[in-house]
Amino acid sequence: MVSTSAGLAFAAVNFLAMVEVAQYMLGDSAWIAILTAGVLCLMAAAVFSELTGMRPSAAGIRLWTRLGISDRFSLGFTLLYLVTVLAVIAADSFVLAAAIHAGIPAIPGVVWILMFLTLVLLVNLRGVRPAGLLEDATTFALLASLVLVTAVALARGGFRLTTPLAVGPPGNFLQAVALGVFIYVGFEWVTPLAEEVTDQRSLPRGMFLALGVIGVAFAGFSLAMTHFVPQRVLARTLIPQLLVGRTALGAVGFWWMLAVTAVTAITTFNGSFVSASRLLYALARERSLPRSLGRLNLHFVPHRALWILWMVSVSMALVVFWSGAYRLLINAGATLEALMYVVAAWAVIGLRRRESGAARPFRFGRGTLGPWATIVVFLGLAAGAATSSTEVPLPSVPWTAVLLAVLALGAVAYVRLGPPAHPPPTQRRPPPA
Amino acid sequence: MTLIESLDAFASRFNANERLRQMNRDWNRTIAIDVEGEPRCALVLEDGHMRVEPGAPSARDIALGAAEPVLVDIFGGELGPTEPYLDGRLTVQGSQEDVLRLDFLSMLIWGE
Repeated sequence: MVSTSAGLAFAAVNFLAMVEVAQYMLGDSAWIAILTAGVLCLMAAAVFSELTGMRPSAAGIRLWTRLGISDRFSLGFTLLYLVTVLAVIAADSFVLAAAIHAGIPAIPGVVWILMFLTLVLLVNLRGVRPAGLLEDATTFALLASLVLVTAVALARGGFRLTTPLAVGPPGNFLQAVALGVFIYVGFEWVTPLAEEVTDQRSLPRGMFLALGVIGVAFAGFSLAMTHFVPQRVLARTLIPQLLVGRTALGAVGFWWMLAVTAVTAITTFNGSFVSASRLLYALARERSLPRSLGRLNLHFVPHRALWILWMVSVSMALVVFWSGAYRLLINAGATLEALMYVVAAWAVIGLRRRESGAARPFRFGRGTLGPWATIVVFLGLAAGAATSSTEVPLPSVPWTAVLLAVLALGAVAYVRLGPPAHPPPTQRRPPPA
Repeated sequence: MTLIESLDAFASRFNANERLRQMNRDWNRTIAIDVEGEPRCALVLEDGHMRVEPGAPSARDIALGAAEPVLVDIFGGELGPTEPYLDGRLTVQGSQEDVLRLDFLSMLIWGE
């Protein structure tokens, strides 16, 4: 569970998110914001642990928010949450294209985006899933690579750092922490596996440990990154991880980090396609989405849901590739993720009231202080991420907030006008013999 | 209709459908049926044939749990599994692939 949770959170775009965090912090102190975000995410992990222990389900987000808040809100937010998954895929595609193009400039980055996304689509359509052992080995290899490159790079610099403990202005720190949440996006995507585990305690344990592992690995890497890549280069580079790799181990480090980026992107695409397609399938089966998305192919895979995801992912990835507006996606992803934690904590409070006698293998504190604290903290961080700079023209406009408002309006409109207000129970008659 | 009768109805429809039997000839699984947390019986799929076994199974690949009337309605074709699954009345334990396939079986047997 540790490797699964960490593997889902380990995205190539995390390297660019680190750059964004670093720009709000002084000297080499980005690691403080990253670790702080990780510590705050522990609260979110406690919230998800209570929910998944109480109601283990592959469609957890839909179930918990439906029972803890309301059916309509649940549907609207679930649709909005799917955008986070798509944003991560699109942003990762952008990073992947930039990284491979840096190594192999003869082939345009867009070719790699299409190739990798299509490869993952085809593998998923065949119903092929990597063995658990392979997933574990991949995640640990990726994390070990980060730690090793960090250690070598820092050792080459004699471990001399510039203001590693200077937090800077509180406003900047808040925004850095808010963006730091993006680095942990996906750690909770392990909860749909709750139906596959027999020991429900392994899931909370996995999420907590994964947050620690991700925090330490990325905080360390950010130290190496901010120390060895000059601020002016960092401000415009799309390949900070390759530059750190080159600093640490020369050409070998460059290509090694390129391989790390590619493998990371593939695992992110795969994990996102699997989880999002199953969620689309569940929504289609309950008739909240077009029923055709609930069709399975001969490999028992929701193929139409996968094709839709592929089309939307490719479209978003191409828009980001040509516009370069990846920061908008990072900010939107960080905001939606923080809001997800708010909504999950809200569902915990609702379920404590509505199902007070239900068994809870994990409980986030005795009263509701923990869930309320989670709501307050992550609402603040969501506001910070939504107002962070995006480098889109007209910088005075909070484009992230505008984008999310448009998406939210779309979700509200769909919930009100699209599916039936309350899908009727699926009463069936036997088909003719 | 009792739980066993509804399971028998489900198994009979499965066994009568040649296409379904062919599609699942390699899918050998034991689906435990738990009523209010207590193992009650199992659906056993073996070489493309489904049968109902009363009592707690010795091993289980998938477990379905719910109140008895909900299970009777689902296997009797009165209620689709999605609604009780998404409102928490039906719990499932098993791999996502197996759960999807079981849902698919139910859809083909009883319609949407």
